[in-house]
Amino acid sequence: MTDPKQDDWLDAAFSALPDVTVPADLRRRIAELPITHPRPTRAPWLSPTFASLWWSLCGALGIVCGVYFETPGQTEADTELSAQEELLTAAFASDVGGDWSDNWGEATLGDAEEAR
Amino acid sequence: MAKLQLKRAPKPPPKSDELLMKRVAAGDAQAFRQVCDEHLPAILTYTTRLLRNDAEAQDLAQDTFLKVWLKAGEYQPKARITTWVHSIARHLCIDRLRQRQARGETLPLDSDVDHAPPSVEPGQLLEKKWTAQRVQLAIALLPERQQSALLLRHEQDLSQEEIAQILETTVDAVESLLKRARSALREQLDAAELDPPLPRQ
Repeated sequence: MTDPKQDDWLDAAFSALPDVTVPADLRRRIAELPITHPRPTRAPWLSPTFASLWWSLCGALGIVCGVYFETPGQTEADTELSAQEELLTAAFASDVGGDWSDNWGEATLGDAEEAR
Repeated sequence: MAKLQLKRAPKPPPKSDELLMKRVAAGDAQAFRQVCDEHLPAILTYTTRLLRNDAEAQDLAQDTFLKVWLKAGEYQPKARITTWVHSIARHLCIDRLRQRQARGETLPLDSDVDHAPPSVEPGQLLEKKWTAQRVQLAIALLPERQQSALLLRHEQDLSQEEIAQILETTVDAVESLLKRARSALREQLDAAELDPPLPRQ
């Protein structure tokens, strides 16, 4: 494997290039960069650690909520309530007339049974 | 006979580089000044050669170290600091060259002869200026990747592995790039009737 650096004419060509000197003003400006451009401090809640903790918490909360609302017991209770509502509606329509929900708060399941 | 090529893994940077950059990332201004003192001359030389304009090169060197300061936390200890800083400088130079191209600007050639020591005879001075300008122009006419490869190898004395990291390519590609760059530069210098000091190999 040849290394092009072995070419003497190239070294001669590059040595013909003028030296570049660092102006004192540039050196000073660069040395002052930490003062003229202070590094922005990031709010702790924007840090990657905090963000990952936050998303983990959201995820855990989502799982808890999902499990709670999808419990079989809850669904059975909902079905039972719907059946009672149908019973009330049917009883009021046939015996009392009108919609039982107009008397919401006054009519009870007992009233419906009594009306029947 | 099949040519046996050994794949060269890039050498890990010295531990001191990693520790120094950790200090800079933690906001240690003294460590930052140390990085600047060590690398500013090389970076300014590189930007001056690529941009061929002293003022722009100095601005860009400053921008490079501003990025080093602000993004010190992003330094990966798989490369030396010099490789990382050269990489930042190169990207900034490319942006600047593209802006120039978009504005339709031509290649500037600074009066670098001003940097020559006062002890040089006037005749020598003229010859030195002429030679320097021919070489500068010949380098400037090469594509940016070839320029960078040549400058990083011959002026900055970086290894081919390090140049590959800066140019974001493979060592084999750098080797091929250097061969093409050397050949193209030779043609440019011959076309400019610049007598090489030593015969062609």
